[in-house]
Parts: sequence; structure tokens; C-alpha cells
Amino acid sequence: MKKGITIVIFFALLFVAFKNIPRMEFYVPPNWPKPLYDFSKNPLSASKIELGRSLFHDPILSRDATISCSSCHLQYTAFSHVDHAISHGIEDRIGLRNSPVLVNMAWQTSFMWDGAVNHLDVQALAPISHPDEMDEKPERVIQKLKASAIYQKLFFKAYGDSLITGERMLKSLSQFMLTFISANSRYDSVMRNEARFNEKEQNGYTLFKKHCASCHQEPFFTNGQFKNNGLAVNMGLMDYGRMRVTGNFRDSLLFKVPSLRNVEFSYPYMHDGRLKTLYEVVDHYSGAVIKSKTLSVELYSKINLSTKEKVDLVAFLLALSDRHFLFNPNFSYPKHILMPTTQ
Amino acid sequence: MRPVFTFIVLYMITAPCVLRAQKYELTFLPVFGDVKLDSAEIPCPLENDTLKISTCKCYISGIALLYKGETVWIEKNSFHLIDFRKTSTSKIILDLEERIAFDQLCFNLGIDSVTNVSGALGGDLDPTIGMYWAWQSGYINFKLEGRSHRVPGGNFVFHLGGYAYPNKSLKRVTLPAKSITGTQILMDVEQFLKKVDLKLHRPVMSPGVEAKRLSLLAAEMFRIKQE
Repeated sequence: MKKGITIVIFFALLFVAFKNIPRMEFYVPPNWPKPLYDFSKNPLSASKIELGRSLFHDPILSRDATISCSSCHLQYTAFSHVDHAISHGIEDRIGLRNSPVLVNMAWQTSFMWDGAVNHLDVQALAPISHPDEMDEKPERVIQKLKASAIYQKLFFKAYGDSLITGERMLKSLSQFMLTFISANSRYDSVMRNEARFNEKEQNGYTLFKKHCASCHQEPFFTNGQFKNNGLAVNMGLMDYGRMRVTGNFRDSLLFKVPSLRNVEFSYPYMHDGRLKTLYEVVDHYSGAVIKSKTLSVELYSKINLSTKEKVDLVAFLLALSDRHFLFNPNFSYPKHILMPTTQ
Repeated sequence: MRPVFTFIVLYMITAPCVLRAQKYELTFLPVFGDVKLDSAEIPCPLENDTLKISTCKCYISGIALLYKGETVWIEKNSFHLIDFRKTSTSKIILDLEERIAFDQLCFNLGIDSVTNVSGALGGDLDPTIGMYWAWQSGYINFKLEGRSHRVPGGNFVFHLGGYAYPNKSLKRVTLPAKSITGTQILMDVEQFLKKVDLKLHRPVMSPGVEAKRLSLLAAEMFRIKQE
């Protein structure tokens, strides 16, 4: 009888210990709006974030275990693919678009350059299953995770039982990506009255607010909308952007307005990576915009910038670099989990 | 005494089929005409064809019971994936909690828009179990794959879905409720395939005008099995 009671108490305590996995508060930088992600359906916890971090960096998600999320979303380049106009996936297959930066994900409601993905939780399914990226079936990913001793432990730690499901995998990945908050650039210091822009940056900021901020709205430096920014259609790719999703001609050549945070490191630029430097980007907007029926109204009038003004504008854009974000050790490859013997 | 008896007899003859039950069992039976759907080849009367169905799955959601056109009961969290290869998925037990009267049942073929934009969900709605479009978010409401001699190349693929305007593909199906303990609902694939021209078949694997049109035909597959 005594033994039975002891066993019951033991399991009850175990249940309580794991079911009460400590929740974390999501950090919202001062003066930022409320996040758009619904945390009530996926409450943050350190163990789920850790699980998501392992999944993000682990090539187990790809068919031949060669490509991970971080292969094309490197932390040091603002979670984009450095120096690759278009990312290569499994077996060096080339995709269609430039790898977008992953930043401030909790304030976004649509994902990918064309907004084809409607929720952060299901975003990872796209690269996992795309034949030019990871080329793996999500069902097989779950099978592989179930067979992995590492993930059996991580899921148990995160969810209090050993059940490994697609929902849990995807929500854990979301949890990790939700922590990608970039709010510590020089620009942010200035906004918090902790620093001051130099003359070039200040002039660049003034020009930015006049010519760029309607689409690249502060503090995220994107308005989350889809715009035709006057690039010629890439005849090699024949990519018409959002029209692929909606089938509507009015969406022809519309692409998601990217965040400019850490833009210094996320080169090359545009949906197909055709522009290599920030100066090329500024030159595009100040004279190379191609007019078409779906061109963004903000670009109807030519933006005239002198050489000095272009330099100042770029100086401001460099002030959006956030080294705390780019070198945050919490985002890096989790050697202690995936390669424990190298510690 | 006689008038009361006469009234009862007349009521039983003229009244619609009114059911009072606490538990109600719906059984979805995928068939091709009179033939139960399985992995075997099915002789098809249309142009001496033979068919082989390899995949037949659909989402049944939003189950409700009606009485004289009014909704009297709605199933909570009503999302069910029916897969003809898994017979365990074909039965849905409705727990009505109390005895209620109803004469019709209705359900959606597919998943509603709100659920489609609610992120990663579990159970039958787990987006990794093969009924979710990865590259363009959204559930596949109805999946039918197979082989036919009439199809150029041999294989046909119908992945029907789409939750956004103007190509919403969710369809509501209303059927009479027949038996007091439950209803067997035939999901007659023949009804669908005879309305599409397989000779001109092109795979449908994304939301759009064609998926929307075919979803309407798919919703016409359902009928009550006559006892």
C-alpha cells in the first residue's frame, strides 16, 4: 500500500513538474507596438525556444541532412544568405528568390516575398518541402525526430511528454524565431536619447523620412505590405511576385517590403538579389525606377538625390545595424545540444 | 380512443423523420458507385475504363444537426480527416449530451478560413500529415489521386482547397437524417469523376478557379445510404 502511494506521489510530482513548464514573457522594446503573434496559443518557454533553436540549425530537416534553416538564414548576415543573389538548397539546386532576413517576426502577419505563407507557425513547411530547398516530406521529418534520442529528450523537456508532432515542431521553431528581435542599433540608441546621429546620419534620416519611410516604416522599417518598386521583371526567373499567390493582375510584380534593419549585412538586395550594394539600391530609387501599371504610387515621382545626399542616406542605413542582434549567442548554433562531444 | 389512435397513425405517416438521440454515429463510406473503395482496380462503365484510386481523403468539419431548417446542435472543435485507407477515420460519434430532435444534418467539405490562418494546429489538423499546402498556406480540403486509362499519362491528381476570396472552396453539404442511431453517408467518387473530363485532365494542386469549380462537384458526392 505504502509503495503504491509513493509511486502515485512520484508520478503526480513528475506531472506537475513538467506540466508547469515555466513560461516566459515576450520582450517588447520600449515604444514598440504590441506584437501581432498570438502568444496565448503558443506560450513562450525557455525549453521550447531551445528546441526550436536546435531544429533551426539542424540539417535533419532536409532530405539528405545537408541543409538547415541556418544554411540560408545565417545569424551574422541578419538571417539572410550572405553574398547569394538566390540561395542554393539541397544538391546545389537554385531556387527562385533571395533569402529574406528574419527579424522582428512577432510583428509580421505574412511571410515570404509574395506573402504566400499566412502564419509564422507554418512558414517552415515551405522550405522543408520545396524541392529546391530541403526537399523533404514533413511527415518524414517527424519520423526522423521521433527516432532521434536528442529530440526525444528535447521534446520531453519542452512539452512534458514524449509526443513528437508536427504542431509541436512548428511551434517550437516559431518560438525560436520570435526571439529574433533587433532593437539595439545606433538608430535605436538615438531614439532612446542615449546617443546622437552625426551630421551625415541626421541628414540621411531626414532624407529617409521624406523619401523612404512611407513603405519602410519605423520602428520595423517595413509596413508589411506588398509593392512594385519599379524593378524590371527578371526574364530568367519570370517571377511576378504576389500575383503567383492571388492570381490577380493587380498584384503583378508586387513583393513584400523588406525590413531595412541590419541592411548593411543582408546584401545582395531585392527579391532576386540583383543589386549588390546599398549605393546601387539608392541609385535605383533615384533614377532607374521602371513605370508600370502596378508601380507603387510612392514612386510615381522621381526621387532626386545628389551624390552627397546618397552618401548621407546610406550613412543612415548603416545606423540600422544591430550588433547585439547579429552576435547574440542565444541565436547561434547550439553546439551543446547537437555536438555535445565537441564541448 | 379512436381519434387519438388515428392522430398518432396520421402523425407517424405525415411527419418528417424526426429523431431523438443522445449519441449519433456518422459513418462516411468512400465508394465508387456500388463498389466499396479500396486499393483494387475498379471496372468503370465509362468508356470501358478501369480505375485505381490510390488516395481519397477529405476534411469534414462544422458538423451540425437541424430541425425544420433551424440549427439545434453544433459539434465543438468539429474537424475530421476521413481517409479511405484508414477505416478508423470513417466513424464520427456525435455526443449530443441530451436527447434532441433533428431531421437533417449538415457539414463542411473542407476547413474554414479562420482555421486556415490559425497557424500550426494538432490532431487531424496537424499540417505535417499531408493535407496542407506548404508553399502556399492552407489546408487541402479534398484529395483524390489515382490512375485511369483515360488520363493522358495515366495518373490523375485532384488537390482541392483554397480559403481566400475569390477562390474559397469550402462547401456546405446538407443531408436528411434517417436512422435513429446513426447515418451512413456514401462518398461516391464516381459522381465526381463522371463530371470531370479525365481525357483533358491536368493536375489540380493549388487554390484557384478550377479548384473552386471542382469543389462544388466534390460536394455533390455525398448521399445517404439507403437501408
